[in-house]
Amino acid sequence: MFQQLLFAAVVSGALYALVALGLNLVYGSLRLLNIAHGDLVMIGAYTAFWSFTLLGISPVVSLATTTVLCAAFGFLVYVVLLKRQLGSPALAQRLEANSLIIFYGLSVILQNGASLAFSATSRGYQFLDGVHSFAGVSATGSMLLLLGVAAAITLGALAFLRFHVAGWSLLAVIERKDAAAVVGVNVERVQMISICAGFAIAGVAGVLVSMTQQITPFMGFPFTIAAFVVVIMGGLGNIAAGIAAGFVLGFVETFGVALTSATYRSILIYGIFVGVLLLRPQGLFGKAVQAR
Amino acid sequence: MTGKPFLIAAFAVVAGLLALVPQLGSEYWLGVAFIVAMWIALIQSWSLLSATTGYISLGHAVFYGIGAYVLVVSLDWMSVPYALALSGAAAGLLALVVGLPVLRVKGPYFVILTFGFAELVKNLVMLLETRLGQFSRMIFDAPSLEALYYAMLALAVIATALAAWTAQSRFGRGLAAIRENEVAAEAIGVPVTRLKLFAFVASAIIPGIVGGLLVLRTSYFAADQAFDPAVSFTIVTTAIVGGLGRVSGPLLGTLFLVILSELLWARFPQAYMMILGALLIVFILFVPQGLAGLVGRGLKR
Amino acid sequence: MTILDVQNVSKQFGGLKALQDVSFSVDEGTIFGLMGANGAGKTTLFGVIAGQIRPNGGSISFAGKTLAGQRPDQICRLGLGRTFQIVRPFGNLSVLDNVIVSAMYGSARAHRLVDATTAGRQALEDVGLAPLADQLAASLTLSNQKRLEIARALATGARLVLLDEVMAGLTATEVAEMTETLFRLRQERGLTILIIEHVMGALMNLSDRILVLDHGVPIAMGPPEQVVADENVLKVYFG
Repeated sequence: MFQQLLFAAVVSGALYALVALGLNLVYGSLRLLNIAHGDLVMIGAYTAFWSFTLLGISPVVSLATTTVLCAAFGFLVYVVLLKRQLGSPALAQRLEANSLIIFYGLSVILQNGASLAFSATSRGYQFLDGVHSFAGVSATGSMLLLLGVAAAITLGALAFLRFHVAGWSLLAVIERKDAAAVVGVNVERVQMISICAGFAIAGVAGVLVSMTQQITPFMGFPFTIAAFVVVIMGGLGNIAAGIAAGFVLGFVETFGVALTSATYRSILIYGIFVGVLLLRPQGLFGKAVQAR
Repeated sequence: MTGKPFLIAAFAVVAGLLALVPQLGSEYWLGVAFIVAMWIALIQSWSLLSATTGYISLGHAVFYGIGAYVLVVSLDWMSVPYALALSGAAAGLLALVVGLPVLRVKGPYFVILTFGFAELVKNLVMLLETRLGQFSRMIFDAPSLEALYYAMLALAVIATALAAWTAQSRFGRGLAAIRENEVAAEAIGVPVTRLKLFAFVASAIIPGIVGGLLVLRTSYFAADQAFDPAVSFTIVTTAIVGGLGRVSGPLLGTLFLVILSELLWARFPQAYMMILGALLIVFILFVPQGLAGLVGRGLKR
Repeated sequence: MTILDVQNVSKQFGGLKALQDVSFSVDEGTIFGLMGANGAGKTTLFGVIAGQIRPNGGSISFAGKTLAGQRPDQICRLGLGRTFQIVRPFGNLSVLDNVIVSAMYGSARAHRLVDATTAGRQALEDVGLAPLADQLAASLTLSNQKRLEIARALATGARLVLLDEVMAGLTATEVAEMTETLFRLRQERGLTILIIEHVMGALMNLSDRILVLDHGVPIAMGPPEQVVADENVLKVYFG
């Protein structure tokens, strides 16, 4: 029983870490709070669902198509809504303050667009649902796939930031945009790539989610909130701490619900969210990037 | 300054016309006018905090929902006017209790905090209702729509007058200083914490009563509907489309919203929400002064 | 007659001792200069006096009242105004509205708009911003935003103002004008001034007394001519 819970906690922790990673990239390098982030998870989930049920395409393939699709969407949002604004300091300052509201608008559009196109019915499909047992844990193949992909991406992102030159320029932009520009980092490009990568990661997470849960047009919002909880616990813009915080949330949620009942799940998540913001808006671990 | 008597006269004419709506004898138009008055009351109240101090609340549905809940529960013990007063008082009290910690959080953090807080309260009320074995509550023998309408119109007028008074008062100037730079405001003697709290409580009371009135109108309460985040979303969108920082902004925004909603909401609810989302983005990026700003510029020309 | 009395004030940020046992007092109607290299703790000292920063130890009294535990707005209403080295204008308000809100909330307590406007216009007049009263504060040049900082502090009705590098970035002529303005304010209003300045000549010229800080430690205090001749000061400044 305990092992099973532990496993469930690790799976949901890995998922939260992944979703939050995308949110953190966008906040870190653009200072935009993407409240539509969970809706990209929803888009990824629908892509995988329709590919699988209509065309018989495996979700493993959808991981790739979703990456391209969501990155392209990120690019579109960047070019149409953000580029001009980020370019001029006066406008950029206002944009930062307003980012949450802009993305809220986007979120409403995505949710209702999906509801219009696909109806509000919840949907699901079976993929890799054979159960494997080991060390007192029963897991479906899809859960293991989820864990593997999430681990690969988060660890890959950490290694990229630690060891690759481009990763350093990303860290530089996150830390201080103006200073990064002075030492020759192409800030605009880093920002564009960050938003594409952030959107793509959310989409990939959506594909993974679709294998293990029911999907609906309004499924994204809880992911947005969970990602915010994680990112705020870790400190906005602090990538590595955000990944650790993802696991903390996965554990707290899984064990919290196991100790009480499922009806307490949203109360637990929102409670943590409000508590973290009230007590330590600068993040639980380490220092957060200043919200300017 | 020369425009002021003109504006007051304009507002009085609008209020007077709205007061005559029941004379039309049309249930439909009375219902529309009720909704118009409701959004004006909500948005003017929201503006008291958010447009003046820049602390954008994305969770005003919480006050509206608490008002609705308190009304539906208290109606067992008291008559409607007392229950409505209690709705407003409960919303104000909630703002007073959570205000100090919540208002210490700034900028985008404040925005998401208000949102998360509203969802938390919604889930708590839903849990409480489930525990009490109540999935929804009905109200029998509510007052007539006409009576409810006059009450709502009164709230809209009070909220508008309050916004107009605040704009030129010492209180309003202090709030503007807070919006512009909190540290500097404190250094010139503005009691920042007290003023913010005051604005927060003031902006909560009327939405509480509005929530109570709406429940009386629909005769039905369910927690997930009463605390619907779409209410918060619509408040913010309408306020921004109308134009922040002008008393006429919420009026123009509401007019626009209600027309749009009458055309679309019943038949194409998703399309309606999508258009609202798009308007929010377009206005905040490209028309930050809102409809009121556009109209103001048009008049000058 | 002492108006500001600072006794053994200390402040640490983590391991950094920003202020160590700083004591001095300022007589009413005098100009008191604060000198020291970057990071010497001057701006921290201002923050401590005006209430934005809690000291770890020591006491401060202003006009006979202790400032311990008071919020910045309360301290302001006692009659102590300050400017910020990095300007903080109310950017979307007009210049006049910037000073009106100061007069309404500061120790001037000009709650009515007419009174606040009179006090505000006077403050703008004092610093030479009157012609720009209707402009948005954000549209002012940096040197004018520094003037606005002073005007806002004056409009609160302060008896003591803390001026933090208000002359940085001004031309030589402007420095001379500002010096004259400050002398006049002291003369006409009996204003007491505590001033941080990197423009050395101006500080020597203005100050009745000067305190020199080095890494948070007071190393010399006295009239300007005595301070510049001080051994410790020479060591710090010229090695």
